[in-house]
Amino acid sequence: MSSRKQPKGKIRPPKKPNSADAQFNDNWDRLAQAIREIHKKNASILSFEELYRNAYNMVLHKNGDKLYNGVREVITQHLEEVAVSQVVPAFPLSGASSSQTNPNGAGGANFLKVLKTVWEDHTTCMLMIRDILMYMDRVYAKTANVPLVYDLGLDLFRDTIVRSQNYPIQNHLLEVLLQQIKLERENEIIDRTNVKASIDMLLELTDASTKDTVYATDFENKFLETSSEYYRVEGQMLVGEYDAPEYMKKVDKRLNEEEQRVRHYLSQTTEPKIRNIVEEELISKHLKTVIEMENSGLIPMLRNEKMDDLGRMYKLFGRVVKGHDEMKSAISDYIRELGKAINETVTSNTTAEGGNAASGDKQTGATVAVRWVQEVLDLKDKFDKVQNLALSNDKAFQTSFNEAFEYFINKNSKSPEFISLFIDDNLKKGLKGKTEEEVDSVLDKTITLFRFIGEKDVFERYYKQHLAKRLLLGRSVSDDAERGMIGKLKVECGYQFTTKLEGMFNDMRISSDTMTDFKEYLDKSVLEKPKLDLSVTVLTSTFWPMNLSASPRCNLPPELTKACGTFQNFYLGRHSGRRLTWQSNMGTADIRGSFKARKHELNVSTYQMVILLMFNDKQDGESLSYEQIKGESDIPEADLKRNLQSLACAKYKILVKEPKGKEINPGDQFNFNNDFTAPLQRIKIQTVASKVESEGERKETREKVEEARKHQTEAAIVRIMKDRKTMEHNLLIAEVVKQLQSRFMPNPALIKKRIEALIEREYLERATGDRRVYNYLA
Amino acid sequence: HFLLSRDYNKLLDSSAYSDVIIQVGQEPDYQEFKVHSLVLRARSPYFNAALSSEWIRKQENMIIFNKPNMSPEVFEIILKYVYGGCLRLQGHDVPAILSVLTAADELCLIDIFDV
Repeated sequence: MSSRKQPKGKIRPPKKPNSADAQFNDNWDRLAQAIREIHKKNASILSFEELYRNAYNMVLHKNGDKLYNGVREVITQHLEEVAVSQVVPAFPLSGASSSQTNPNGAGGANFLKVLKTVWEDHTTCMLMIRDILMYMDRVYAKTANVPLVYDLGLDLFRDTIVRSQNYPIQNHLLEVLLQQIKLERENEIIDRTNVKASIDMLLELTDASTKDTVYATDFENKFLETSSEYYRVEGQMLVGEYDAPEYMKKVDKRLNEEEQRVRHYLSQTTEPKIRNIVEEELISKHLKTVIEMENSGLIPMLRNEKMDDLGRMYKLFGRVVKGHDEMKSAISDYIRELGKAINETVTSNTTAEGGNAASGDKQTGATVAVRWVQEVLDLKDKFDKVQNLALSNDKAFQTSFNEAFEYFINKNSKSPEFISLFIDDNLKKGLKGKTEEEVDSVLDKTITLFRFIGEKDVFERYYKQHLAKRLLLGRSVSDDAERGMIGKLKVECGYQFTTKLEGMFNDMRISSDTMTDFKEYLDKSVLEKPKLDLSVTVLTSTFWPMNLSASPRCNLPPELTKACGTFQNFYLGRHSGRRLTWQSNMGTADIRGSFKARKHELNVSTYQMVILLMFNDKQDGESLSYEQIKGESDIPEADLKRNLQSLACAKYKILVKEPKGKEINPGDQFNFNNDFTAPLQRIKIQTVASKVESEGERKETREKVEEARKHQTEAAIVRIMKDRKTMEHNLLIAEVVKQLQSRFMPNPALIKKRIEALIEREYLERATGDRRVYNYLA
Repeated sequence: HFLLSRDYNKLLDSSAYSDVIIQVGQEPDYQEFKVHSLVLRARSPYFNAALSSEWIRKQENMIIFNKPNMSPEVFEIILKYVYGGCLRLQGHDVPAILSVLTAADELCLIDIFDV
């Protein structure tokens, strides 16, 4: 003992070993004392070489275990002392659980500060102890399979301080940490350094049984539990107090804060766990509530185009499993709802104007169609914008939106006709005032709507009809635009549809050449020249949508009949074997009318011309009855009524009807209106232009479509069977559906009927053994 | 490798830039070695601890380190090993060689047993 009191720095000879025990005791006493000095921060009086050599000698002389246990005891004693003299006095006064009485958490912060010092002292001392016990670590600890001395120090600190059996240090520590975090969540400024020091300490300590960190075993679960509870309460509170955009901002902020917190003073392993909790409590649990918030939820955001809020919702809700699904279905429902509304305005309009339509207000139908398409396009634009600006062009959303559009567009059975009418409108007069690029972009958008149509074949039929009218009535403004549109359709429908359209263009071009030749022919001819200019368009019947096989009934004036005969001779002389049928229902005529005030040039339909010419033979004031006109002209009744309406009930009243009224009825009397006046010299009597079809026409179109579908279905069946030779019924049906669904959705009953028809016509037969199997007959 | 070893031994011999005096043995078998803390700390965990700021004592700007329980002869062999990486035992008798190995063990120069 006396030797310790001698001044250091002087070399003393090692004591002669009296006995092993005495040597051990002496060595150990010095070491124990030295460790105490280290704990007292008095290391400067110690000699590393001596202490090291002491420990070395003890291990060398097989006293490693005594040394190891002695060290354990000294450190434990020291830590017990630290617990009593430093840690326990720093317990927060009010008890950590009642943060109310200690609102700033100052006691808690101080407690953490003390712990930080205690921990730092401990680690510093342990490093020095490790230095002098290096030989023990290397030789004894390895062979005895005990922790290295530094790790022993950590374990002792864990058991004596952090998990002290004698003092409630652990409780205080955990509660203070949780309290500090809670304070920070409530916008108090806390001293993160102290919190971080304690967390780092817990991270460095290892739990003996789980081999996990004490942070993980003691702290993390409690932290997650309290966080769960905290955000459960907060979620309920926020949902009640804030509107959707504010709520989402708060959640965003919370997520950010928790991420920052983890980065600043918790373990990275906690990050996904706390994130899940916030996402679960603040997003998952309130998904529907927030989406459905009145005046601020998803639908109001869409209505008011709040792209930022929508974008935030997309990002935020994307964090949880159901988030995007809920959004998607809410938006899709909304699209369907808006689509339904658009469809309803159309049906209410058409029913309200049903009477008018019949009375000759033909534009209304087309206007309804154009408005419907425009509204659908606007809706599409709106959601494209949402998709682009708020939803990162998410494919899943796009698909779901498309389904919604497809759904409501096909709910309107007239959509194929409407879309065709819309294109018609744009190719007819839409070009005026619009640049080609603008028209092109409108048509491009229209094509996107076209893709949604289930019954593409119906669209094709209408498109053909509308194109035919544009061509025959010379309404098509630009050939380039027409061809551009056909190009787009070719991409969508394939060439078999567009070849017919191109055939229509060809007919128009050839007809114009033919007319030039006809004029030359007349000039050179010795025949008497017709008294009128005849212009003929020759249509190849298979290209055009109308039924051209027979001439409609109509008694043409003799001059016209004669002129037609001249042309027919000329034409058939050049193309033998062809047959011409005159389509008087489709022609127009320019005639001159002498009225009391002045002369007018009238552009009328062929039928109207026939009607008007009858009045040439009448005296002023002499009238013709409906029956007389009908009998003399032989014009089909529906056409006659419509044309009489155009002449007597529309804008320009060339005829006066008795009794007055919008409808043409049997027994009506017609007079030539000699008093007719109009500001313009040239007058166009509104001819039957593009319009929504009447019910009868619609039925007719429908029948034609059904007929075409029969052929297409049979063609598909034959194509498939030719390839497969033999096939089971259900597989055949599936394959036929697959081939046809790009044009229309065939129903199995229709296919079955066609199969039976083909069996009847001996293209197919049922297999002998199995009646569900068909064979192809070459 | 050989050149490096040669140059480090030169450094040891010249004691240029040395910052440590190691006092080895006891009179009369006593000798001081002027060495470089950087080299010693890099090569040996023992010296790394011994020459760390917590433990050193200085006189006139030199670190003084006592090693009384080794002979200068043995310590010089150790030092040459520490500096040059080679253990040269030629010309030494068996007790001296045993002392070198004991000393290497004490100083945690475990690599020496692989040489």
